[in-house]
Amino acid sequence: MTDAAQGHAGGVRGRAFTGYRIAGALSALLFLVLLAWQAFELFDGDATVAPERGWRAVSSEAAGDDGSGTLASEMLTARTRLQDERFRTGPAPDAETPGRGLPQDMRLEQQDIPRNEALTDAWSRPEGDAASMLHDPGRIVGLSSLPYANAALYERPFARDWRVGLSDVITHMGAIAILGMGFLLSAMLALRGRVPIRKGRSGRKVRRFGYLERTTHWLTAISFIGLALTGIVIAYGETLFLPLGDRVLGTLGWWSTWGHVLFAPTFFLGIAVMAAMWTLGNLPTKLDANWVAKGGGFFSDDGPHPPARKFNAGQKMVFWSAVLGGLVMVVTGVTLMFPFYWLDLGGMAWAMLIHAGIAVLLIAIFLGHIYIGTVGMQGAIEAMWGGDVDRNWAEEHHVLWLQEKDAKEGAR
Amino acid sequence: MKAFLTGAAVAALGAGLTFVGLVTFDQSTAERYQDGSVILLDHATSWDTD
Repeated sequence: MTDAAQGHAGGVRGRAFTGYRIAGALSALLFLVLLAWQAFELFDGDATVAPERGWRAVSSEAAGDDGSGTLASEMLTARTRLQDERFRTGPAPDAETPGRGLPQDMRLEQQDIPRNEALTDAWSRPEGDAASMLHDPGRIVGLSSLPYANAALYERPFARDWRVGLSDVITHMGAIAILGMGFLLSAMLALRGRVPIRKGRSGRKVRRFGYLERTTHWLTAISFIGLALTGIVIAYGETLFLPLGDRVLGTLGWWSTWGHVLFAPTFFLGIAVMAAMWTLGNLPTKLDANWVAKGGGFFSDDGPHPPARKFNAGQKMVFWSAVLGGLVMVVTGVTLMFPFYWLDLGGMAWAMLIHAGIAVLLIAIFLGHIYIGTVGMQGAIEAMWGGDVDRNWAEEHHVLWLQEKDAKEGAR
Repeated sequence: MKAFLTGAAVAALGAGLTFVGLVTFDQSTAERYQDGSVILLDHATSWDTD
């Protein structure tokens, strides 16, 4: 805080934190550019996922031969039988190994499928008759000689909805939610400045959170950040890291897939202990409506902050997001760790959609929490870092809690 | 600071234990044979279920 901030006649003003406001403006600019990029991606024809490459068999000598033939299919059948035999009996070194499925003089080659071709379009976004035909039976089943149960299930129209939901809707909306939150918070810092301790620091401390409370908070926070960063690599890795090279995405992806599972148990432990410690203090009361109506007193340096006990309505919203949102994440996450143990394919698709959708929302919400707990509010970080806050901070933000605490300690 | 470090230590310990647990009970879902063919071990065959 600057001297000028403290010397103002009306108490400390948020706008006096010039350095913070410049940083906020620069950060807002960066987020604006990222949002513009995301908006461009959203309306770009390339925004939806569609098949880009197709395989076909061609003759090694004369390109243009379609390559399908009785011989190839017989070979494939023989090979399939061998696989099934081995699946049931285990390795049989003496068994005669059939030749390759493709004759020696044929080879497979890849070719581009032009975008916006009728076939690609219909696959990507079926409409009208095509959509109703695809959705009516729920699944399109044929015959297959491949040795696994769902090989004969050629198409599940719900899988198309799942793909569109996951890779198009949630991915893009999630990016907009996260970047949008970053922009709003940066703009708030730039325009409003920090929420100050208006009376300045008193120099007298009051204990706000005990050791167990703070440890649980940081345990959950570290686990959440670990899960969020690894989850972002899993969800957005191709966009963010593939431009840096295959190996970068490969390595990051490998560690992120592991890390995403490794941080999960401590995250669950954290929200379970938090729920046990803080649920009572976070039940909604009449004070909360008043607090929300006044915007928590965050948007202006004039007039008093609305009164609150240990937790104000904003903190309660963060608490319930963490506990309820976290519970949904744990339930869907464990479901994804044990695929098909208690859900079928449709259930797994829903688990993934819910997991991803809630995840991006939680990341956006907790960006807000991290902001207000650090740069957004003077003196807030001390509550979780050392456990003691300045009395003036407590009086401005949690006056009822401070009075109750003083009364309790005075009565001792 | 102390609480932060304790939280970080518990998170690291949890991650380590989870890693060891997963590696210990790891089960292969596929097997590859010398001729290059691969068998998926967690799928029933189509003629087992039909």
